[in-house]
Amino acid sequence: MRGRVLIVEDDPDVLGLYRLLLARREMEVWNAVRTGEEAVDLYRAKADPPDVVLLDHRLPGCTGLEAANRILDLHPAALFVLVTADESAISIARAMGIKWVHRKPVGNAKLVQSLMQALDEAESKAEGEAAEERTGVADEEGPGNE
Amino acid sequence: MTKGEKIGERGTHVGELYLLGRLLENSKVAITVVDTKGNLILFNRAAELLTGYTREEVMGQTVSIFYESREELERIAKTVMEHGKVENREVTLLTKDGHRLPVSILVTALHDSEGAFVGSLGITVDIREQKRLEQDVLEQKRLVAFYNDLLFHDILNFSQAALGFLELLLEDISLSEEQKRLLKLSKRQSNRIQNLVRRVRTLSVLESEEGRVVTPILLGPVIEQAVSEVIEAHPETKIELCSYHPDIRVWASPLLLDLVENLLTNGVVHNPSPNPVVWVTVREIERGDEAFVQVTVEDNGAGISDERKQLVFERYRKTNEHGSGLALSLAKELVDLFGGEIWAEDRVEKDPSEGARIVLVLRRVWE
Repeated sequence: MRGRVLIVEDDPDVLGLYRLLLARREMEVWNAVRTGEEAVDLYRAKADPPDVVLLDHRLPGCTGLEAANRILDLHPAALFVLVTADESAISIARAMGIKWVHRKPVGNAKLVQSLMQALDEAESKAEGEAAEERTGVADEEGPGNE
Repeated sequence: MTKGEKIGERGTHVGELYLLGRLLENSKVAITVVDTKGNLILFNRAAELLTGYTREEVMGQTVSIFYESREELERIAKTVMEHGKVENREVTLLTKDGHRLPVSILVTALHDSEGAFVGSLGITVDIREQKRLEQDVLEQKRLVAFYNDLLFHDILNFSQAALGFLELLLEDISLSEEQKRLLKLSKRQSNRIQNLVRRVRTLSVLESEEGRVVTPILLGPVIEQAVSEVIEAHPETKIELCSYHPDIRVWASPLLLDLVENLLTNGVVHNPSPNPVVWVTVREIERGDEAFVQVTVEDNGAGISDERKQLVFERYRKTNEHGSGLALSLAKELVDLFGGEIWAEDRVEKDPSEGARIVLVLRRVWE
């Protein structure tokens, strides 16, 4: 199993598709929720967030992009793959700096490719952070070793 | 009889006044005259019907009895004094029974033969019906936008699940060739539904005010995205980008993507060839002092016969038994909006059976 994906999608059939597709491509579904609020709550509650959020825009309650903004406040390194039938959301998402934006319907291959790229980026970010931490620890320990 | 006046002249004068009086009285529009202080000195029958007041009740009173706000009346008076008239001003009048009545007024300053201001003539038209119709149109537009949005969004959303599951089924290696063929047919139909929905959406955006704003757009990324989306929907097709100018900007709107996608899809879906190919060429051209960009989209499909070469760009005209006939007519509308040109040719001159060439000319932005 590779990566941990949080799915935010209110259509049960689309959600079913994503679950099946991710399982077939050996990606882990970290959690699946149908509203933006639930997604934000998960980020608030869990210390170890998912690697990438597979996000719909038009949802009950707040929109996907509003949820993304709130998640970014909590976790600035969060990565999103937006898949939406809402034309107006596409330019807003790009302006927000979301790299992976697809119009519905997107083919499985393209969607998986975006998820893989996002997971790669999450991995390299995590490695970078770990290296920084190690350097930070070494620096802190440095004077004590002298 | 005054000095110098002839009998016949006086008779004509009186006759004209009489006719004028009858005309004012029987007019279907409300006519009023006020003196220099704003006191009513003429109030015709239509004015009575409109306001509910009788002539006797209002004569000598100022027109302020019809106005809810004194400021509105003062603004009208000021404009009449400064510019001689107020035209087609929409205001709300108060009727005798307290109803608020939307009307359009025309007020003209009256002067005597010496040019001195002696009062104003007011013509008032009831616009309740016009307002109601305007409201109806707005409501209809709002409803159409709402239904459009709902339909487009939901159809595309449902297509996501349909397309995704079909693609997953197609991965099953135990499927027979016949089963695969049927699944591919289903997928093709699903693609056609999406294309149709997208085209209708483009059309509805094009009808709106914001959809008609033309700005400089970078052509390269638009072509790249269109090619990528069409290949994804039709993986059996080969699209060759023959020449490419990533830095060129053209006058267009965000609907340029829909335009290019439409042209590419058109070359793909009407292509019975076992190996469908679409060639896209971007070329800079100059005509006089103006610079243009020519985008040609060629295919090895069934071609367009000479008699249909113009018809395919006409709206709502179906020129073949498949499809809505919307793709090229929509392309033409978009190109017209961008101030460009579009036409159809044979890919191989004088041989339509070798495929079509759609030539698109867009205005280049001078950098």
